[in-house]
Amino acid sequence: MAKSPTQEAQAIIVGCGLDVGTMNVVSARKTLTGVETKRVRDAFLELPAESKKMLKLANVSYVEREDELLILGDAAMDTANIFGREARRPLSAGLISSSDLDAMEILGLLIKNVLGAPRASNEHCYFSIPAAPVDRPGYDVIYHRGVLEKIIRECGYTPTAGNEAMAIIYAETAKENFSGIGLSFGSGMTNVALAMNTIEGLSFSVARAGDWIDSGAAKSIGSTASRLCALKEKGLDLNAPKTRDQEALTFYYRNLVEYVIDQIALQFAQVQGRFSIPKPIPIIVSGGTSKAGGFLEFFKGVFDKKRKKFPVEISEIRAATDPLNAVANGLLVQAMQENDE
Amino acid sequence: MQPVAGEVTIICLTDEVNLRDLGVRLTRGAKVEVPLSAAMKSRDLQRAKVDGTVFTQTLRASAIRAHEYASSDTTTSQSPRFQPPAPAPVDMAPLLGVVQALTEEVRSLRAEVTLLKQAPAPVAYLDPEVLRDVLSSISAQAPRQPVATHQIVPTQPPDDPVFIPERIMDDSLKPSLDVKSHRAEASGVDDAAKTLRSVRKRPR
Repeated sequence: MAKSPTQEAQAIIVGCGLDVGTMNVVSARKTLTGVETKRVRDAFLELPAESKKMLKLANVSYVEREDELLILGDAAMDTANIFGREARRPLSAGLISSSDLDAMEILGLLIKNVLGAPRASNEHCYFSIPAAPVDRPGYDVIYHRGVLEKIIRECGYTPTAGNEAMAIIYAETAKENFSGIGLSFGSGMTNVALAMNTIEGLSFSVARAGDWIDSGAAKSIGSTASRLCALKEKGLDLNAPKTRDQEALTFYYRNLVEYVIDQIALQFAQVQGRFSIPKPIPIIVSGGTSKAGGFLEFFKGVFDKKRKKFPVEISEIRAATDPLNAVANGLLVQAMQENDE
Repeated sequence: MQPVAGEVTIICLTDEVNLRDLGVRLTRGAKVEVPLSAAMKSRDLQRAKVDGTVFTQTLRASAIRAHEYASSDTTTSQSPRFQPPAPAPVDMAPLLGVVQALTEEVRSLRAEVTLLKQAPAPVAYLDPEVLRDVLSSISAQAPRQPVATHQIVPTQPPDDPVFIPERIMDDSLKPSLDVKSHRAEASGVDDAAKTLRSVRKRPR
């Protein structure tokens, strides 16, 4: 028998996961039959007030602020292409910039729209934060975390920060009792976490990811990063690049994967004595950058060359079930536990 | 006027210099010594010095005269020269006494250091009664906190304070965003949540 809307509302489990990335903001909530994810591009564009008429004609939503118009989310990316401009991003290399007050406010608006109103008073919201980058010592994760906590609290939720790569472990390694290496290949950063039976043994990030690939490839062939990004999103087979542009992208992809594998070995060497891994564990690759065609095979190929020197025995390498939503889902899994406590 | 005793070394700094009134012709780096009195009279030398084509160095001249010559244009200047006052005579006897006393002091300190280095370290005697008194006074002054007996707890400095504005969002802005929504029936979230629950309940 089908449930009435009231019964459905009662059955809904409160708690939500929120993945705040450089490219997308994604929320995940439990519904009666599954999970609902909401996604918006983490981007905005400022236009002069005179553009209002044109935006109305083009049916583009905007927000008026003082003497300018703000276009937010996916529309900002599309409009930026029409105007031949680059959309701005509230996050740079995975983190909120403390000097950009606009970014903070815009990010607040994006999060508010993706989260919606809380379903219960002070509903728990687990949000993603990156681990401290090992190759950018000055990056301020504390400020980033503080701002997100404040925004989520202003939205009426009780915020809890969760490591981005650990969220992948929670979402994807239930059958291994939450043991594995989670890799989140995002846009601004690549996050890594190693866990054994839910216990985090190692987590760090590197300041190289999708944006790094785009800008590196663009520089090497005298093009622009946004063009290379579009090319990448349009469809790229990493195992059979056809053009010079694709070859350049593949080159930087290989470099990134090698760098991440080397960094895991390097960082693991520092905790090796304090953390035992009694059985082989899986590697889970996730994130928007891992959506490139043939990424899993490509990753496996690069890893096989480094397997002998890799300090952890790996049972398998697999892609996350839903690479764009895996972090939000993992955070939702953690938020749902709050109802038991 | 008394003739000025001494010599001047002239060094050529340019390709070639010709000091006709001295009868001297020099090439780069070459040097020649001429009497100080002749050098002081030489207009060609003065000109060469002003041009920077020669460098001069006075040798064996009396101190005052040599200083006057080394400073530029002293021979051509007609203005009365400044004569520094003669220094007042100083009685050196008390100063010498002080220096001698200091020397003695340093010598005795050196000997003391050498002896201390050679001698074994003295064993301090601790009176148990005094020690007990001292310790009791310390424990009485110490704040009442639990004492870690088996492990050393490392102290970590608190994070640097970070300013975050009181309100971040502007309630007046109400954008209508194109939020992409997706419902997944089999996301694995339920299974993961159930497993996590059981893992957390399991005794470690």
